[in-house]
Amino acid sequence: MTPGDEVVLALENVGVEYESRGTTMRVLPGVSLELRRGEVVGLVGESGSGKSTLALAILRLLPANGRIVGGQILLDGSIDLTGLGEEALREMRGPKIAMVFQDPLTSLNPTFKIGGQMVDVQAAHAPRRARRVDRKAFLEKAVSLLGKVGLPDPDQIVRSYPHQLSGGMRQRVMIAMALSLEPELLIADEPTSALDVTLEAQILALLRSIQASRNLTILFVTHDLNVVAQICDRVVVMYAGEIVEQGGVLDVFEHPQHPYSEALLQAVPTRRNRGRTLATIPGQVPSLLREVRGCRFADRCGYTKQCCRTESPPVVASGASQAVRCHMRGPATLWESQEEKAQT
Amino acid sequence: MSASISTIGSGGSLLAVSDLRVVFSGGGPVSRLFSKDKGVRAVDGVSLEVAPSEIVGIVGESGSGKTTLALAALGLTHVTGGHVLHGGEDITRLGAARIRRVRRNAVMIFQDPHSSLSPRMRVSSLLLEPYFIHKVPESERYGVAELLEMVELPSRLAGLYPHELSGGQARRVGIARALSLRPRLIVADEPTTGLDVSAASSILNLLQSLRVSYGTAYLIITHALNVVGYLADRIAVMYLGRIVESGPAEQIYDAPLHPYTRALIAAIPEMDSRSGKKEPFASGEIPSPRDPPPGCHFHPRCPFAEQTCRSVAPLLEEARPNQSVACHRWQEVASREAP
Amino acid sequence: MAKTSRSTKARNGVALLLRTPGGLIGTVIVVGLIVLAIFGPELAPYSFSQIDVNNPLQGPTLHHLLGTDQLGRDLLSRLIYGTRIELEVAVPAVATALGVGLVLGLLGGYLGGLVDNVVVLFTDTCQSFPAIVLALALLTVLGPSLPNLIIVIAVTFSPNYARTSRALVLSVKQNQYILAERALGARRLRIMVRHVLPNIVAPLFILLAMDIPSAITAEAGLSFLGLGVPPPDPSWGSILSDGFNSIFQAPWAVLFASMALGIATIGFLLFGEALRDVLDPRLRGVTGWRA
Repeated sequence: MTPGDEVVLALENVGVEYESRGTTMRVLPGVSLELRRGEVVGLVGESGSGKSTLALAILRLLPANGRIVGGQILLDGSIDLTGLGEEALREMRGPKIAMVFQDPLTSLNPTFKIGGQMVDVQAAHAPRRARRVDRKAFLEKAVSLLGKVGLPDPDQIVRSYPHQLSGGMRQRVMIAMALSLEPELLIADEPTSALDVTLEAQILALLRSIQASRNLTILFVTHDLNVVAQICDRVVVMYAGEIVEQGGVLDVFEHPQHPYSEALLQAVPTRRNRGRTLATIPGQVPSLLREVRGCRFADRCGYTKQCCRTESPPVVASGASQAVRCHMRGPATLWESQEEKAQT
Repeated sequence: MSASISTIGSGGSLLAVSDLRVVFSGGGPVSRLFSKDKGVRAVDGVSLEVAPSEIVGIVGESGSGKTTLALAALGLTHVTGGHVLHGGEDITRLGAARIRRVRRNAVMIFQDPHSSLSPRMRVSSLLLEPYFIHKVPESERYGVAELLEMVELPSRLAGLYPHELSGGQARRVGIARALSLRPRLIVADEPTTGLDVSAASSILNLLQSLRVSYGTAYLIITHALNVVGYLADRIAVMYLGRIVESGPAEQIYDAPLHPYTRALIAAIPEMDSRSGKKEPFASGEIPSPRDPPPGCHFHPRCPFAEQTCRSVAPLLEEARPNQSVACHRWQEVASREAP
Repeated sequence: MAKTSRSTKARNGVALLLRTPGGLIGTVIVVGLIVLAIFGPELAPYSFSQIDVNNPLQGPTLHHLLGTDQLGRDLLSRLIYGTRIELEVAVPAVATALGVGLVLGLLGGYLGGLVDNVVVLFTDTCQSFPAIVLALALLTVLGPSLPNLIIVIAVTFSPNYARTSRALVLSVKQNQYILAERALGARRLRIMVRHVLPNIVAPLFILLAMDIPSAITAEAGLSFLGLGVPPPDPSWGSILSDGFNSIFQAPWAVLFASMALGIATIGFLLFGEALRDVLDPRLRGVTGWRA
């Protein structure tokens, strides 16, 4: 199914701060992002990019020392998640937005059977009166879902404990649990990073088929560009807390507009670039403790000019659906007239 | 610096592993007597060679036994059967002093950079320690600054402790330690795992350039096929303790013979495989090494499995020049083109 | 990352130590006791053995701030001098126990096999005797004197250090840097001394700090039983013991000696915990106080 135009989730200028030992770090200065119904969006970035923070912020699952400052997160165009109270939020988590995490072992309660956990999840969101009565129905639904995620013998699985299942099976259980409340949006935070490559392929295929059959919107957070290439429609590249480029996967991968995206794509070793030196990105991700003037990537960029260090780069549209945050992609004449600034 | 150990031995290879078996059994001799548990056959009859200046990649997922193989190849874990020859000498039969000499020429770079550096020693001490261990005369040593430069680290890091370094920096210190003895062979366990793309690419560039400069041979252990695809001359694919296919890297990529290799290659996520249907990849998951399936270990997941596969373990045989595969049906598998 | 010099680290450490109320109190007490032990006897108003038969069992007065014992000796002076004795016994005893235990634990833990079996046998055997019984037996054989007291207390304490250090060694042994050193060809001795030892001393040191009051109490107990430091040396235990006989008429000796013991114990405990938190907050479980 091709993605529609309806916006399921819109982040407008969302900022996130962490407080640590007396200092406040602005991890996300102000991120804006739209997710349309039926899209699979890949949120890609290296460590320190803020991608996991963004994913957690959507469901307000930040750790105790983090908080959202400013901006809005609009669900279905009307509900602002940043302003919801705890109880109202709880009603969102599950039926509207569900999340799957990286390590299924720690995401499942080791002392309860799978069936019990899946029933509990559904019961928690059912109207009070119906809870006791419908447990049987919930269990049946759980079994059916476990089958849909490709688990053999779901009746046995519901009677098992998490430690009795393998990693891949647990991850499928997580996905089944996430789906049990029929969410509109599924946020997957590195769901395959801890899995072997053959297993990863299976899980990715599973997600793809689930997405197709339910017109589910998926936000797929990962550091692995190849995974994004495989299953995502759109890719959002993050660096040091900002979105530096976004666009259709094919567009971005074949014609990356931002120097960082370009460098990332050239840095991945494949047999195609055998024998050649891989592109590297010198330097390190800037510390978030200091306010950065100008472009955050300036120190490591191969195209830096003077304006890059003094002014924040604008977000420029490029092509049908691509957007990039870079001075270089701005009005051509403006860029040409800038002086070269020697890299220090 | 002079070479200290002759590298000429059985056929000139630096490292030759022959029918290696490493079995970990749970309890002591008494429990072994009474229980059916035969233990974990981490390495189950593996043979391979590394020639001077060659890069050999061992690819496998979890439970494949590749790390155990690496440790056994360096004498760091007990060996239940088979031989490990360094320059012709079987280290499974050597005394401690002779093994120490072997260690000058075959070093290891560990997977977790931070936990493989002694936490209370500064970088400078860590870098010079191999010289003290092997009593290398001053004239044959590299200086701390030189070593840091070799791995492209700034000299100011010399006074820091491991926990003050970033992951990438710690990894390079590990590499510098390995290089300090000018070894002939470096065994690298997951050299890029856990690193960001940019850090990983610079480590790979470093390894590549070191090979060019010093002619070091590498045995690279990884689950990332793309890393060996980029770096290795030859590849051996391991599954549950056995090598299922081996051969030149390009050949294996272009025409993999074993169903597991094909599944591994097909499973690499990439743009090109978005649209079309792909090779049926392996179904199910890797079984526990404690209880491997009989016959060919891969048969429960193999789309080509048949009766023989379930009972008879296939041997590694040369299917094409330089390419060996352990599969009863490799000819039929080869003839099935990937759609 | 900037390199922090050793002196800055030390200063930061001391600052951290004094930051918590417990750390502050503990450090003050410990430092105070040490100062008292070194300089006290010179500053004490009377000699500890100065007898004054005319003023036995007095309560606190202007002349005798804490009162006198049954022989008219000034309690304050005796307690002050006792501080020196307590520390003279406790510190060498615990330090010896640490040294012996450390070596045993290191050898047993790292080398394993027969050596380890012997070490474990030794510690289990020593610890299967109630400490008092063991101490009494040894003292009876050796005879009560200051050096013997130190030896006896050291012997009763060392199995615990051996056990703890062995456990720490076993845990450190699992670390990959040990494997890395083996992979480089390092000999076992080198690994034990350069790589295992530095990583286990911190918790042992903290145990030492927290064991000093145990040793003091042990000495006091033995002195109470008459097997400690021989009179007229005023160990707190013997002051307690003497005072016990006249506890109903003049409880001062018992009261103040007990207070001294209590303050010393609390002081070292607080100091030890603060030290642990400074050196490595992760050690909370390892150095639990055993009664």
